[in-house]
Amino acid sequence: MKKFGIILWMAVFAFAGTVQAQDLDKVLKNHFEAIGQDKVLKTKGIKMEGSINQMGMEIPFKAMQVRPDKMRTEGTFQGMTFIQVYNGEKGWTINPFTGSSEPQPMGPDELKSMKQQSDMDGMLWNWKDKGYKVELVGKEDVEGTPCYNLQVITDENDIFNYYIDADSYMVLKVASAVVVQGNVSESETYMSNYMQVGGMAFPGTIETKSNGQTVMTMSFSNVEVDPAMDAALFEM
Amino acid sequence: MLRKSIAWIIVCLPFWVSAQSTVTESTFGAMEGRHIGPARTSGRIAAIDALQSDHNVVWVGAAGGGVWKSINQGTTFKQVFDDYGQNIGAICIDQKHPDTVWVGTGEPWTRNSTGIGTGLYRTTDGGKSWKLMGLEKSERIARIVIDPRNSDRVYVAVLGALWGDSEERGLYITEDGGTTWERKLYNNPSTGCVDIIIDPRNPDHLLAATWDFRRTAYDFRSGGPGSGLYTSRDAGATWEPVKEGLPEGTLGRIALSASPVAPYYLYALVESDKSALYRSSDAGGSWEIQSKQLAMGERPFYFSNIVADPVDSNRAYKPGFITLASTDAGATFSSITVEGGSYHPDHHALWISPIDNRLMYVGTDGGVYVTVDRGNTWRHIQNLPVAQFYEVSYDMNTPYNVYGGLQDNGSWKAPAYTSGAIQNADWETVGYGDGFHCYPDREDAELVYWQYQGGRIYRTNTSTGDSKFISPFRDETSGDLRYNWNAPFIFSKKSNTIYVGSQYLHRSTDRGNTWERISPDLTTNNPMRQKQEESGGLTPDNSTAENNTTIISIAESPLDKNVIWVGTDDGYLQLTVDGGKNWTLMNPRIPGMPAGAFISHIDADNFSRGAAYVAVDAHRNGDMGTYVYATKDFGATWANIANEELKGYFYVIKQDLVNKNLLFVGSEMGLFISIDGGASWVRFTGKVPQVAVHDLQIHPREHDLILATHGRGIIIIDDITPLRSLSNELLEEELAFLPSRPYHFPALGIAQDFPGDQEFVGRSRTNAPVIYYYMSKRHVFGDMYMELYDADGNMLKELPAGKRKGLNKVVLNTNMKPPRVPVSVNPAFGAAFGPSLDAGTYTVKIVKGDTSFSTTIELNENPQFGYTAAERKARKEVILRAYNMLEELAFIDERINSIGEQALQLSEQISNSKMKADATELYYLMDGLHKEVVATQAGEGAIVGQVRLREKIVEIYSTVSGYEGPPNAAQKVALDVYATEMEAIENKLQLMVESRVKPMNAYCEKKKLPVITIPTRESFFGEN
Repeated sequence: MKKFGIILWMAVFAFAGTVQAQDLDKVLKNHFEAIGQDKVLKTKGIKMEGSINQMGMEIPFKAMQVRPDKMRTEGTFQGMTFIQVYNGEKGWTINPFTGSSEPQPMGPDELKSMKQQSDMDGMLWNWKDKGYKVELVGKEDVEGTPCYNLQVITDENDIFNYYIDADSYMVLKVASAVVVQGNVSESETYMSNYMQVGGMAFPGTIETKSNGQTVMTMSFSNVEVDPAMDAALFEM
Repeated sequence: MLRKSIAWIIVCLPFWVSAQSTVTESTFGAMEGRHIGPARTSGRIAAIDALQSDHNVVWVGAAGGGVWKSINQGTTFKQVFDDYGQNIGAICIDQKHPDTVWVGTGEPWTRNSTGIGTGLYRTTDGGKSWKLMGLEKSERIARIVIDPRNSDRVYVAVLGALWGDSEERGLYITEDGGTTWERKLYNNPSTGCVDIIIDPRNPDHLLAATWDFRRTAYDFRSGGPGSGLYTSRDAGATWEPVKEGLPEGTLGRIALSASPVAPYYLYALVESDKSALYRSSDAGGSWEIQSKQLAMGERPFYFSNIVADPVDSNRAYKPGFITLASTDAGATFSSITVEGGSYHPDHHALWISPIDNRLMYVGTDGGVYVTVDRGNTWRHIQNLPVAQFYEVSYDMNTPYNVYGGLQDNGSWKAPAYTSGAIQNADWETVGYGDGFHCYPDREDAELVYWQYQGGRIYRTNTSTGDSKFISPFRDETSGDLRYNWNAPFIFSKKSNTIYVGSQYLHRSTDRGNTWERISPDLTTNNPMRQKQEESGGLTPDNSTAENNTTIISIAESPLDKNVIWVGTDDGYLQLTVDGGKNWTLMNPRIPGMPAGAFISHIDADNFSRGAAYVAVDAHRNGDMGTYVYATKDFGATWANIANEELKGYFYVIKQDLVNKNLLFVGSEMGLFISIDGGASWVRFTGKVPQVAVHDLQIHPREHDLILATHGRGIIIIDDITPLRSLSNELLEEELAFLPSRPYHFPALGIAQDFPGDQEFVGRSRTNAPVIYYYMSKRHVFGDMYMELYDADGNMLKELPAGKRKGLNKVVLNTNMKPPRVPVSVNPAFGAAFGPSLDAGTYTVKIVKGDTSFSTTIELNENPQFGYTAAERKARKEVILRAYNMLEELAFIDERINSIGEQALQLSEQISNSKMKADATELYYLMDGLHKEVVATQAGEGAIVGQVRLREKIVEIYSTVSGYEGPPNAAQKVALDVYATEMEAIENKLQLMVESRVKPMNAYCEKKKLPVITIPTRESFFGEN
């Protein structure tokens, strides 16, 4: 449960260059065009609703984000609501499944992850300014579909490999190797069912895999661009 | 030879096959192999390297099972080399750059069953990605060493080809990180470089050994004029032979070692006619015998290894049958185990930590062991599933078991699936030795047949443990029998008849108690191939591994027991059509078939008496060509149906049991499939690495393809039914459903086990029905999902669909929507799932953008349970009753909470003191009722264990749901009682609505205050 908010943001805002390598520039340019990055840059906030399918359970969820870097995620099970909030600096989690309704502060690893995900422009946009290293590793097949493999390495040594469809320039997969508690946690997210909202491409379905096995699938039923959202939603 | 066979394909194809298909690797999509181990036995390890600055980081190269990396001293391992050939020879970490690791493929331990390599590889990112650095034709690499001053200078000892001459052997040196290579120490086409060390005192000073060797199907030679010891003083630019002090005459294999703490000694373990450990005290200029102990000459082709301790100047180790240690700088050796010693013999790789020399890793025929007390006691790493199977079979139990024999690890069985995972404890030992064919009796499941090398066959009664030796012996006229290392021992596909091949074919119809010889000598009986007593070269080695002029493959037609095919290990293919009375040699009729090859496998056609498929393996002749032959007319005409898409030499070919054009080939380089009778082939890549596939079986009831791999254990591809429907036409379709095997609701097991992270966990198959469909292109844009409908057309649920190119697999969760439950501070996990779908026919619809595709799926009761329709109905009634009660209780609770909250708000708004008190009281009354409905004590980390009506009903719901049979009377009675309790709460609520809410509302209306509204059934159940 704890992880779902994290993965969601990572995956949805998996779009984002100026680079030295000509090929990388070209791939990024095509990618940004395809996903409507110009519109992403003008977006102030976003709200998404949908459901998470995990271990056979359906969990309705909502996710909200506003610039510059605030996020909130809610998931409901048996009337109990899991909440994750990040205000750009601090973050909290309410996890009623632990029998508590008290907000628990996020630790450094979670905050690091929140900071990465709260970047509405996506990791690939202006990556140099963000201190990332990005490299076009090459062309690889993702489940039989040729993709460009772009590797992002953060200053904390987290590694994200973006697999961009060589045909549509949509992100089909992100493989991440993130340092948590000093150890590396690996997972893969697959994006599909892309839909156009306000000139931007959003993946309607995000599937997360660990060791090749599906851990959960998120499906979005509704995406609102620049909705009215109370500032209090992003504090606790 | 190869060119000839290609010409033959061109000639034969027009009449042989109908059309070219468009199958590619991605066609099989989500279909994947499932690795079930065993890791308990593990398998042969060829190489180990670990990080000198952190000995917890260890890399293991399995002889046939790829490269594995651990960062925690072996508690967990990850495979890092699955996209490449799995036969590993050498591993070398760049100790200055721990993420840079070199891997040489192709094993240096040159036993009969060893595979071949595909070159030299390097990773610079800790194993995430690899680059081929050349030496593609090296076949086997024995050692890689990096110059400690310059990571771009790398020395690679290339052993080269085992089965024939080759030019790509000797010492290869790069000074530019592998971009360019220079070959040194090339002596002749049968001699490779086997070891190299750098003088710890002077990195320009090198010592290297060459080895002249050759293996054939019937002989092994260690030693020859090419063997020798060499030294270089200029970092490998020039080399001088070293002879002083070394034995005169022919040398064999030589292993080298030096220790940084005793650099004044260099060790050389030298095979000669008097094998011994030598030591040099003058930097390799001259040598003297240090030890002549017998162990110094143990099977050098398998154990040539000497390791000087990196910490203790007097200590050195000799791995071999067991590992011996010297505490007197190599003068004497003795066993290192004092208290322990429960490890697998046959040690190949040894790594000693320079930080703490008590810690060592050893790689054996049975996996990796670690010691923290200098080898006194050993812990087995039981998570490396690199077992090397020769053959596999199955039984008809539910779940069915797989049986098979392993290189030096006996014979084993395990369930193909369980209710959880397949772990080490699920594997049961069946027989010892090197294991090969292993079968359950067709009629008596307690009897298991197994064998060890050289045709020694046993029949074991698994209930009593009684084992009977049943191999045929010679008779008055047969002469001595000759059995292969892996003597064929085959069950008839239709009866309990057993066949065994020596040079003759033997048949038994009484479980091996008596045998009938039903053929003449079917081999070449060539005496030149029968000199095994002379095998070994300098060190005699006659373990039956070189036995030859024997039968190696047998196939009885499943349609006619009198049609029997036999193949030999010296190249003969024979057929009888009259049960063994007359035999016909096929060879003259098969143009291009290599002479003297292993007729490794014959598959008699499942649909036509006269048809058969034959896999031919000529690699022991140094011929790596691809040969698969097929006949339709009892061998009158033949075609080679192999083509360039097939890689490696072949161990097995199998025709599907249902679709005659669906063929499977197991090769040294993985699994290949043809859907068009062999016209085209494609590699199966779904979690089946490029590992040697020695045997294949198709389970006739479950339709699983079972792979016996020689390096990655048993791999099962669940349910190949969808493959049977693939056709050229279908591959053109945007989306096409494919049938799957009949689904039966499973029995769910119970397990509680916390074996730690070192336990191998083999995935079991899913318990849920699977829907398969093929897509010609990946779905990227727009909606795509799946809907499920009942027979009446009611939509039951929506679920995510697979979107990949090729075959997609959607697992259908058979649980319906879970009940709504009263909201609590604690989750009711017992009610997290809805009731299961009933048996019946359902419609599956895939919505893909504007179009939709439909198929039906059948869910069947599990016949194993044997419950009557009435019993199942009784169960369902109770489940639904409890389900409805929970939903009703949720509605009651919703009203209680709503009234309570509104009363509390009113109590703050009303000024009249009596009414204010009434509102407050109403709030407390509702709170009291709520506390009867559901547990309200929050845990805040504690275990509260509070049980109220919700929790009680949930327990009935979950326990009745968890059992497929009828509910107990007690469960039904309890539910009756809970229904009464619920009714009482509802009555109390109604009473309070009448007696308190209504008067309150009347007052509020008068005072223009908000009235208490009560949630209606429609508003509550209408949601969602």
